[in-house]
Amino acid sequence: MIRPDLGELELFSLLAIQHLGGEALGIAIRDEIHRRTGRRVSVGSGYATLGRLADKGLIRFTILPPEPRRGGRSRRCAQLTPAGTRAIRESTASLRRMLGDLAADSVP
Amino acid sequence: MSESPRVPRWAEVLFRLAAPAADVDALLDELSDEIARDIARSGERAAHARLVLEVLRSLIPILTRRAVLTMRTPRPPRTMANRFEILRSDLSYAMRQLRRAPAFTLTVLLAFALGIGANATLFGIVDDLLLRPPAHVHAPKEIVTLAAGTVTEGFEQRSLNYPVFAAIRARNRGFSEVAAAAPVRVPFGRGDHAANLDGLLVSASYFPLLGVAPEIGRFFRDDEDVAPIGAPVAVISHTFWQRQFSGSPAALGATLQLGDRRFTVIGIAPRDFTGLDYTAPDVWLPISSGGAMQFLGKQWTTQSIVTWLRIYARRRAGVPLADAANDAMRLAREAAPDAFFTQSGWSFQARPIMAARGEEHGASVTIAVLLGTMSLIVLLIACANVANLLLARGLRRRREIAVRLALGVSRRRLVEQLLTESVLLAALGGVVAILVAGVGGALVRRLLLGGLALTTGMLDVRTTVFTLALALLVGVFTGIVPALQASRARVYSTITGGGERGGTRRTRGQSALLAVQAALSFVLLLGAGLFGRSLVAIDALRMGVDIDRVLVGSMNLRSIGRPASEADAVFARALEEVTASPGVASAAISATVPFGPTYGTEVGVMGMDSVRHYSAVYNVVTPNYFRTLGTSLLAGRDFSDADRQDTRRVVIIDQKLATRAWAHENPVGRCVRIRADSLPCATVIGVVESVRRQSIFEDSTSFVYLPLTQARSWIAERYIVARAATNPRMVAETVRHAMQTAAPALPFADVHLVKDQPIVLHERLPFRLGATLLGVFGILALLLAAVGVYGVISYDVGQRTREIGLRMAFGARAADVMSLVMRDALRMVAVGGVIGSGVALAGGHLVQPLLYDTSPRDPAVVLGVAFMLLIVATVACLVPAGRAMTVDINAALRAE
Repeated sequence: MIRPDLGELELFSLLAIQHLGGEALGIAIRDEIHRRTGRRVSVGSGYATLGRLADKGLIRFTILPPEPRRGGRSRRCAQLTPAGTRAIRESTASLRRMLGDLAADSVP
Repeated sequence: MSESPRVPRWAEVLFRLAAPAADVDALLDELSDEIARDIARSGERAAHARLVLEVLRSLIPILTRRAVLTMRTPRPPRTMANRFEILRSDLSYAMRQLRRAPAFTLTVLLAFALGIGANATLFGIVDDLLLRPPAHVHAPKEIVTLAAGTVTEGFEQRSLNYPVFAAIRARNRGFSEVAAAAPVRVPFGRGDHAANLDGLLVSASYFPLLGVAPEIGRFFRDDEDVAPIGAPVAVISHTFWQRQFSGSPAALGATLQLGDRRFTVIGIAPRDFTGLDYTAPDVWLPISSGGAMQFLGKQWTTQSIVTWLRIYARRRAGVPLADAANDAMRLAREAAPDAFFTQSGWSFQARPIMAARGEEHGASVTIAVLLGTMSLIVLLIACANVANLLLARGLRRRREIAVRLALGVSRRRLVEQLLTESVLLAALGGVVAILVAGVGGALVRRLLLGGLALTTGMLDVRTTVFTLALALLVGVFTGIVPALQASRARVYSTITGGGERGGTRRTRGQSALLAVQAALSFVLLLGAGLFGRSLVAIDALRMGVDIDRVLVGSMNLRSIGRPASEADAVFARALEEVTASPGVASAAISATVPFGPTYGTEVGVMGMDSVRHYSAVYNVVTPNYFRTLGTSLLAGRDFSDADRQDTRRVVIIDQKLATRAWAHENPVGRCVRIRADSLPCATVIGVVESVRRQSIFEDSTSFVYLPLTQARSWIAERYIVARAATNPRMVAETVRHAMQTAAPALPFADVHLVKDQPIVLHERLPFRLGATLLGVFGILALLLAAVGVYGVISYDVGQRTREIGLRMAFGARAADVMSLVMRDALRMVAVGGVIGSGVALAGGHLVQPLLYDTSPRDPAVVLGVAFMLLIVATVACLVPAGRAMTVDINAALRAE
């Protein structure tokens, strides 16, 4: 089942990170959600969502090495934790079971 | 990937304000990514338009997140001990920082000490004069003093008389207790050991009214204060007890020779008790025992024309003051129907003494406001100055701060730390300020407030608390902006941007602060200049008497029960002694003196067919009176020893009367009749310059002078006037001694300069006060501004060493470098000066009433001040400019 403590935007963010290879910058996550759902997530709510996920231990922040150019900064990057991966699996499994055949109709 | 675009300043500020400190950088980075993406997709303009929406949409989630974090974060247990530990480490860190830059620390301390000290000084004085209740007095707010007057003219008549007091005391319904008091000079002892004591005649109800208990002994009983002659008992002050009796209890029962009676000491007032005034008298006597010491003679209980007694009362609960005052006036009308202050239209005002005290001692509210404004301006200048220094220091420490930020110190902690530093500085400044206030307060009191020996110590608790609170406030006030600015350091660019060596050029804030300082200094200096000019104008007033050189000596003969007829013999001997004394250029006897009591008469001038009358005041004098005063003889001759009782009657008139009576004709040789037309005619033998009578600002009155030999009985009073050839204050003592020697059996002779007569002192005080204080504050402000300019320019030069080196390598001459350095600073000072003169010109009408014969827009003063400010700023720039000119080109370039 979808874990009750996981909001929609949080689940979307986790999924986006997984799509992006398990590790992503904030902007990439928000763009991914936009691309797939059409939903525009603001910098602020993206930030707040990631913060909540980190609080729950589903992601952790890592620091990328600075970009190799003048003024290049270290960037903060969200990475799925094993708990995060498990949460995706649990949530999507129950979702998939609930959808059953409906999935084919509703997803063009 | 191209360099990420910069986040606009407004967006950065919003994010910094909204986001948790730890996440600000990440958020800004992401916002920057967002902008870059939008620019790539839809161009710069569209991207920035979208940014507004993006930021606004972001704020609520960010704030929510912050709230959640704040509520949830397991705060580092900020227990008391923990907090104290943090404070202690901040303090020791701040101490180390301050010790490492002693010049900076000293400059800031100096600025704070002066700025805060000026305010502490003023607070102490205002507190003493206006705020603090008199010591040992029970419920002082309930005590009022009665003043008579009219609603339109004000209530200025504070001295009343005995019949009025007696009636109010006996029959009033509005007060619970009524008392009366009158200051009096009490002759103490005889001859060479004679002295004058400050006495206060009081009704027996005075001490009970105040609710004070004696240190030892007792106060007066009602049956000791019975008119017309009360018991010879005295209460002495704590100070007098210590001085005269070394604090021995044996003082009780001792006798004092006061005037012509021996008084028994029955009580000693508690220490610091000053009654309702600022200074304690030496001795308190029942009114009825000392009434005759006044000039009223035996009729003191009944006469109602002369006013000499203050009336105090304690409010009765529930009775409105106005009703009580009206009731008192009703009684006063019955008791003294012929007194001028009971005429119709006049009424009493019952004024709480807490309000009345300040007004009466030259410490009027105007002066207090003026002083307050000035010291506040000085404080502002000091703050601007310190803020400037802290800003410069913050810029210099950017690198250190960036490193600390990079190491994970939170910005909040950093601000706390920097604030600790400025507050510590201010607190240290406050401590020095308390010392400044101690010395400054004593000076101001002595120089300007006529030596009011205020009872409270200089370093009392209230002033100390005020000062430290002010210091704290000032510390936060001056530290907050520099601390915020420093903590805003961009970590990365500051650490990596080695080219700038962690430094930046002076900020716009610093330039603005410089201009503000210059403007404020300008205002203060202008004020000082205007008051100074007024004082010069007053000193240049021709008063007909050299107030700085002429001494006036008097003796209270009646107080020791000698008949006035004896006075002439005594004074003739005294005149001989005084004339023969060293340092005395000339001396004379007169019946009154300038700014002393005045006596009016009628002068009849024989016309062609009628007698015209002129009112004039007159004086009775010996030869040399005019020479002694410095009054010029305009025509004719002075009196001489040849003018005797049996020779032709002669008078000398002043210019004013000469012009009024004879216009352009020569009055010498004319005949006038003084007092009554029936008296024999007196010949005018001379015309003298007009002399001021009651005010240094008055239009002079017509004067007639009569020779003492021909008018002995006209006025009973006698004065000795003497002209000092050397230091007047020293000669005063010589004259006093000479007078005392001439009459060993007589009481204390009072000798003082005309300049020190109460009227003259009182009239010159506001100008002296204004000129001196504004002068001192103006110079303080100028010093502070100079320090500010120096500090900023000096810092600037340090930062620009490389640039200056480069310029010189490319052939800039020393003069170019100098103008480069000075141009900016002088421009700021000039801008400040223009603003300051604008403010001063606009507000000039506010000080106009305080000035004498001086326009608040006096061009000479304005230009002079502008010039002075510019000179000082230039001098302050010269040192750093000199350093800039001698920059070692090689060293500067190699440092690159």
